[in-house]
Amino acid sequence: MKALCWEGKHSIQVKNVRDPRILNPQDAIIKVTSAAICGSDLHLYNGYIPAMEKGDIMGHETMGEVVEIGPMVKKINVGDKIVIPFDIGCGKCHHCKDEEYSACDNSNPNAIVADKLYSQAGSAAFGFSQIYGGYAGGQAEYVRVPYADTNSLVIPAGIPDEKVLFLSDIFPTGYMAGGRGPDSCIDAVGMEAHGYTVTASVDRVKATVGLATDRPDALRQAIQACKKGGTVSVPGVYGGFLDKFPFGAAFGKGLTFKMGQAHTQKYMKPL
Amino acid sequence: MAILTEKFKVDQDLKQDPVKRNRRGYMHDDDTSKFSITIGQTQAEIFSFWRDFKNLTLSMNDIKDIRIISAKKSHWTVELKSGLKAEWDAEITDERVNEMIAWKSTKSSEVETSGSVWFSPAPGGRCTVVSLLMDYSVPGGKLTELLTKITGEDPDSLAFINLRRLKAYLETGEIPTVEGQSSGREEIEETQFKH
Repeated sequence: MKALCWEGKHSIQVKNVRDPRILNPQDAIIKVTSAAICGSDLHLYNGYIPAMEKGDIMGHETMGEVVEIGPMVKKINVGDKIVIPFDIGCGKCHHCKDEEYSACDNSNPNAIVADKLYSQAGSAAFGFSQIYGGYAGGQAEYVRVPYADTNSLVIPAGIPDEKVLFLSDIFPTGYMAGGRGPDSCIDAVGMEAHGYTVTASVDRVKATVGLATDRPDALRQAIQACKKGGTVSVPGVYGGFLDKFPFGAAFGKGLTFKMGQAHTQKYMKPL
Repeated sequence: MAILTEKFKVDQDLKQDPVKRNRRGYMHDDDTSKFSITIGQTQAEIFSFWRDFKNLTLSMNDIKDIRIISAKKSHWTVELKSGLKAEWDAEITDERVNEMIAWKSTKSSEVETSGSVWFSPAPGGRCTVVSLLMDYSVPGGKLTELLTKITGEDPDSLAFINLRRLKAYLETGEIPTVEGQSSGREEIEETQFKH
């Protein structure tokens, strides 16, 4: 099949690679009909997310038709049209049972890396670096979906792709981050904000020489702009360390922060 | 000084008691690891899975074979991805049903290892905490230890990884993997469609 591969910073190529195979009993293989490019794919493209490996297949907003299922897949069948959430839940651990799928204990085979970095590893995700499990992504003609019963939403026939594709990430992500109403301020930009303030320039210099990783200018502005007692909602992605973070303002105004990788599976159906 | 004497007494006391000794890792001064993980099954379920040692080959990829010799004795074969292979006879030194199992390699083994695994109730009714304590000396000495550390196949990393595999296996019935998946690292000339 053809797949979009990460070949290094600022280098993405379409390559001919082997078709995916069923590797575990709860896997399914999907023939991709639509895939989207996410803003956070740009973090990978720009080399901000560590632990991408040359040849990793990109893409975490994907949908398609089921063409093969493993022996333990029970809820979906060959021929079903499904949307695939970007995060991978096992469906059985404590967090998945509480519908906190992006905090899944079991889906990430490289959990030891994230455990050391963040003290507890989150779930794996499609096409989002070795830290997130190193799973091949969906910007390809086929994709393997692990724990397919949990990581799929069957779409009734007759609904066009573009009406449901965004259930794979950004729709649930925006919904869960809770950035609605006059009391919220949203940072949907994440770690690569292009600011024009003095601190933004400092961020750029520091990131360039490796003294800081993320550029949180949008987050700083959201904290400053948010009303007292309000909510700062962060659907934008962060990966490393922040500098000049106005925590005094956040504390002084009594702000609430809502953030994190979305528990996509929880919100796909109601949305 | 009094405190030092007191500490010395405690240490001596621990050396006498095999269970406490395992808990604190007194077989060697250095190589001790302790890891805990919460698993979503009862103490009894996990204990009986573990006590039937052959089951461990299902959930821990690096353990190639476990041969049961007698009720207390078993023969273990471990082979790592890097090719490092080790075998030893292990003997159960203590066990309490649904609570703990302690073991030690026999004197004739090339690998010197001892350890214990503990099953205790997790707070908030969240099933069972499994704690693994291990003492070991790596075959091949310090150099091998350094090399295995670099490749991520040192006993500490392996203990951690294998406990996670055990959890995944017991909770989901499979071990998550990306080995054998498609990638741009294996480019092919022509695409072939199966479907």
